[in-house]
Amino acid sequence: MTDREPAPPLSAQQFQILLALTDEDRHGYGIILDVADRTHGAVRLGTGPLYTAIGRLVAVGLLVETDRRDADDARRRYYRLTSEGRQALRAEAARLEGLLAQARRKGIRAGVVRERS
Amino acid sequence: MAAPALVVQAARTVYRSSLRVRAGALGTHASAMEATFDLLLARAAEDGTAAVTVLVMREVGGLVTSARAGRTRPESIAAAATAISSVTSFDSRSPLMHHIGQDVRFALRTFRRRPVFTAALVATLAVGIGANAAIFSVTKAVLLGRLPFRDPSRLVMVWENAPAAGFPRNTPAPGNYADWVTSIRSLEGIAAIEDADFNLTGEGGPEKIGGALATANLFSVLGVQPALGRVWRPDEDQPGSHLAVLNYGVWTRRFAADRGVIGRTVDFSGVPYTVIGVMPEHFEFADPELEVWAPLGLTAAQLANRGSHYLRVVARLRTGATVAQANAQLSALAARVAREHPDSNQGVGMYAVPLLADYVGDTRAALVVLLLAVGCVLLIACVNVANLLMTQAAGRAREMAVRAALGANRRRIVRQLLTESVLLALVGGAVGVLVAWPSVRGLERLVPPTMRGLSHVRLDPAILSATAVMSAITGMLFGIAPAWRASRVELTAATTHLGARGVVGAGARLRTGLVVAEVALATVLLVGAGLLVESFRAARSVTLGFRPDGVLTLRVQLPRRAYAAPVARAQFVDAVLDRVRTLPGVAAAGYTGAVPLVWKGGTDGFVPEGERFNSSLSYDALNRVVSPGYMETMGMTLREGRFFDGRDRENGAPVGIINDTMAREYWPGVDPLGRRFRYDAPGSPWRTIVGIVGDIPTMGIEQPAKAEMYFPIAESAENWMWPRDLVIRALGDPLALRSAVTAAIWSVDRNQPVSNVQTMDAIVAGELQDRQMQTTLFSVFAGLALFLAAVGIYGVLSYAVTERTAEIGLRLAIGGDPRRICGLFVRRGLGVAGLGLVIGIGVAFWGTTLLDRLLFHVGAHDFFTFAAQAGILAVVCAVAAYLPARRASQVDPIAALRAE
Repeated sequence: MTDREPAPPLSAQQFQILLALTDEDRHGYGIILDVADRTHGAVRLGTGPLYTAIGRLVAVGLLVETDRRDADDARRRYYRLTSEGRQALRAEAARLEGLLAQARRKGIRAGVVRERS
Repeated sequence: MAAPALVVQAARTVYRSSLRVRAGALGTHASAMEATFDLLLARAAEDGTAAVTVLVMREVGGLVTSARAGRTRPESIAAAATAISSVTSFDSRSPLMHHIGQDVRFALRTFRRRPVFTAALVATLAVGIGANAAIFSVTKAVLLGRLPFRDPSRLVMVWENAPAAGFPRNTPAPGNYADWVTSIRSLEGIAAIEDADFNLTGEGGPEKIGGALATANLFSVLGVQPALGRVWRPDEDQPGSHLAVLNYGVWTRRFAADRGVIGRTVDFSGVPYTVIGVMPEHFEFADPELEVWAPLGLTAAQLANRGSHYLRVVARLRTGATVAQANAQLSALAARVAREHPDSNQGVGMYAVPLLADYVGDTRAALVVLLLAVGCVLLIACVNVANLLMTQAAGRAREMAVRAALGANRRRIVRQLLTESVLLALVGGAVGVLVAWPSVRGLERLVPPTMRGLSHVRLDPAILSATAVMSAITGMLFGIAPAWRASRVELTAATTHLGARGVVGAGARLRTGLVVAEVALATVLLVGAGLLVESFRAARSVTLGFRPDGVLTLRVQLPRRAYAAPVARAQFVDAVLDRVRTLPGVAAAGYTGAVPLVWKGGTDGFVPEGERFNSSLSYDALNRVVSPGYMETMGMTLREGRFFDGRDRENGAPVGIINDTMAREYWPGVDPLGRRFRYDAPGSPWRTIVGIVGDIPTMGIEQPAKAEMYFPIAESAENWMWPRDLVIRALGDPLALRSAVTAAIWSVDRNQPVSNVQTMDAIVAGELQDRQMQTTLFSVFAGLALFLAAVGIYGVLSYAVTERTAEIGLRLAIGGDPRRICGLFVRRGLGVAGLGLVIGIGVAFWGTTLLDRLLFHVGAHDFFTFAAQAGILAVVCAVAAYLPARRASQVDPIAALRAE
């Protein structure tokens, strides 16, 4: 099976992982914590989905594994966003903005749910 | 609360194994994933076991699904696709591992598609496996416990057997002990101890410390060395040799673990003892309460005495010698001594018991029975799961057919299904262990008191691995029948709608057979539980002969030296009673040598005056010295004559009171009141019987009553039994009097430690505690069995109703009576239950004889119990059958026919 080009749309998980790596390189646990932090615990990545996504993102060149090793646990791996990754992130953000704008035009607003019974 | 290390370790193992199985695409990330998981685990562990469990479930689930993330196909297609991939893909590198990995992955996926069904199976298995793990842990602690002595399997306890006197396990007399030392060749070292109390005064208040006087070879026979100092030498084992060896506990508690205690003089019960050694931390022998050891120093006169039985004897088997050989030699010796000393040794046997068996005692029988009971529960759980899997097989018939069509051979399909069931059982086992975990502490009460300090009930790695193995075997057991059935798929038939039905129909007979087996097993357990409950009820309703409610007891063990004069003892008792009786909240008070049930012995010979000697009687009675007011305080029953009172002073006329049993056995057909008997001790006068009281179960609630004689404390100078236990009848809460009574005792003698403060109610309850625990556990297991059997009946009928919905609809449509249809299914359910019941009763009839040793006042074949339990089972089965039957009668004919 060949991997498809991960051209947008990125999955929500992939988006969150890339977002976690925009400001610094992180290891798996760091990514999990950052995502949980930003989403106030709503998105809690498990190791399985996380590394499946990482594998895919590395395969298509949006992420790279760094050479950095921690003294207290050499098994940890750090990941860095590539310029392609940053680009993909930007494209995805733009796409989401577009979607948002469409929703707003239809009168959908966060926190206000109008329904007729 | 943080999760225990064992849980954390288990979580890590589960994750790693899952990761290895899942490997494939994630292989390159495995170690990084483990590192990440470890960090997640560390955080979850701080939040406790529940958090760890949630994490593991989420993570393992995530590993399974992550590969398929993003794919959204209709479920049936996904199932067919995975079925295809699991039979067609073939990994040449490690085919077997690869296939097992595939099977496991496929099984997990199958479970996720049917979460409720899977949860029901896991819950059923968890109950069965968890109960087994819990009882295993007790069994291991008790029956496989290792005693902390050198080569403990060669240690034996040696007892006398005096059945006529009611003592099948009697403490030996020194004279017999002396014979053993010289004559029993297969024992290489024989040591004796005598219980003694060491009252310690000084800092921390007076304390009664239990201990024993022992022969010098005790420690070498047991094979233990002191941790500090030394033990006494044989030449120091003399009367008046005041050396003491302390147990670790008392050394740390009363001597602040001071190493300088060696060589120091300590005052025990008014006698200066020199401390020469401290035993290692886990040393205890015979009774955890024995904490001080001192030389026994048996004199030549004592070593010739065969009349007083007060030693406990432990011996080491010579290398190569067996317990049977030792027993043969002991029997021969007993016969010889009986000929040489008929007056003391007529009918007295001698025997050795392995030390562990001696410690465990009757608990072995109870544990074996409980093990059988949990085994039955697990079997029933297996049958239920097998049944559920088979009903499910209908839904999977087409899946199997597809797989067969794609070239999977039968073995491959069976393996796949067995993998599923073993996996189910392992998950069930894991959940079961988590459920059993908190209950295990409560089971500590099943450990006999002699072993509580030595063996602890816990789910250790050995138990956990035994449970894992048991789970795997369980999985095979319940998986094999459904797997075998499901693999016999007729290809062409199964791929059609009708064919799927055909498979189910053929399985119905097997499923019904399994339910019959379940009901039979449940019947056996129910009958067993019924017999135990009856025994417990009988034990609880034994006539005590006294009123335990509202009675407080306290113990003051007067020191031998300070209170050597009988008059000093009598004065102490009088003074204490005078003060205690005036305390507010005290209704009555009295003194005795030993309250009922705490000392199941203390007997002496006696001679009735002028009665014809009867060789079938032992002329041995329980010997108790009591104060005036004791019997009234206890609420004992006066049959005839009077209780002791102010007339019974040291210079009063010698009198005694006897119990019903003594009156009946030794004065048959005459009124003993006013007749005389003599307590068999040097210088003991003839005593007039002034009262006859009702029997009390001094020897134990479940033991037959024994002859008992009571003497006034004030005129018992010659009696070796001393006043010891104070009893107080309270107007309110007895324990509330504790400090006031202690103060009253200390106002008479400040140096006397007060111990064994407890209510008479607690003593009686303690007596029934083992039986209560066994009965409760067994009943719980029987209840589980009944519930599972009912679920089995419900499941089979429910399935039959579903299967026959169209037929029922048709019958109703052409005017069938709904009640008759309901009746049809109830009858079918009761038929199954009835067959199981009959088989179960047959098995129970044979099986309850195993319970014999645990029964009390109820026969192993008690008709009432059998009938009552059969009735309960029939009612529960009828309800279980009625529920699906009612559904059948409520089928909507139109809907049923349209569906067809």
